[in-house]
Amino acid sequence: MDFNLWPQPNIDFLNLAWILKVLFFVLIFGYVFFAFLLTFRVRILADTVHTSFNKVVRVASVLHLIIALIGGILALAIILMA
Amino acid sequence: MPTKVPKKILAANKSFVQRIADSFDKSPVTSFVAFPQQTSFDGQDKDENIILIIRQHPAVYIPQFFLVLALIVVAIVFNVALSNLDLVVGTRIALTAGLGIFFFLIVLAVIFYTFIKWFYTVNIVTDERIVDLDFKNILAHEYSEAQIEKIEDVTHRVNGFLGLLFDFGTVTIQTAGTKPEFEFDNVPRPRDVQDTLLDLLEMKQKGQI
Repeated sequence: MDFNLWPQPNIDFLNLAWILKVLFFVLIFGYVFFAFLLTFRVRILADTVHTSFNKVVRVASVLHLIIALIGGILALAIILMA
Repeated sequence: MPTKVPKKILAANKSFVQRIADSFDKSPVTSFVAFPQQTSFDGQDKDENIILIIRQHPAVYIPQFFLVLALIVVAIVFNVALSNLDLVVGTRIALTAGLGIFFFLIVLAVIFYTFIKWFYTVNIVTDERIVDLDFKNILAHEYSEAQIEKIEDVTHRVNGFLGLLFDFGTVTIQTAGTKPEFEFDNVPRPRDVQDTLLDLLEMKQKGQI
């Protein structure tokens, strides 16, 4: 019996690059969501304990969120184009 | 603004004031600050004075430091592996740039999250109460407080190699309240914290504060 004549499953849509891109998208999405949650958490905690450094921490958390959004979109776009 | 110790505390002539005097006028971004200026907390009374603000010793976060180093090493290994793969030049550049940005974001997240966790895991001792704010994780934090007069017993323990090396430990405070035990985890100078709490309790019992 010649096994080469048997029908082969088409696995093009499940190739490694595609799986990695989906995984990458999930990771980036998770990271941006994490940055959102951290910003909200900082806002609550800054209202609980007030120090002169709170303003800096608040600004840093918003900057972190912006960097997460821009960096995430950029990284995702580059990887998807690759 | 120089630190001013409240007169009622100076008048009691307790040892703890001298013991923590070297921590006056410290920046709010340190682990041990005595009589901090421009600092308050939710629910603080008008005539209530903050005596200590204590955070975990930075040495507690040495594992996170190594995690960041490990991530940087992984990023370099990925980069080297990509350069050895038989890929089209454009694809290789795109993958290197994309993964580079991704690792940068992960490292940034670890550093920033660790700082926020350290900064907002804070213990406050005032002349009225103790406050324990725990940043547990991104989804949860806990805020507990107890009146000074509810304190029943204070113990401290210095555990482990890092605690021995950097002189930090955990101060456990037994109280008569609904939360029977407070723990100030991995704080610097646990002996001074214990002495401060016991002196404040004594002053409270004598009606000096």
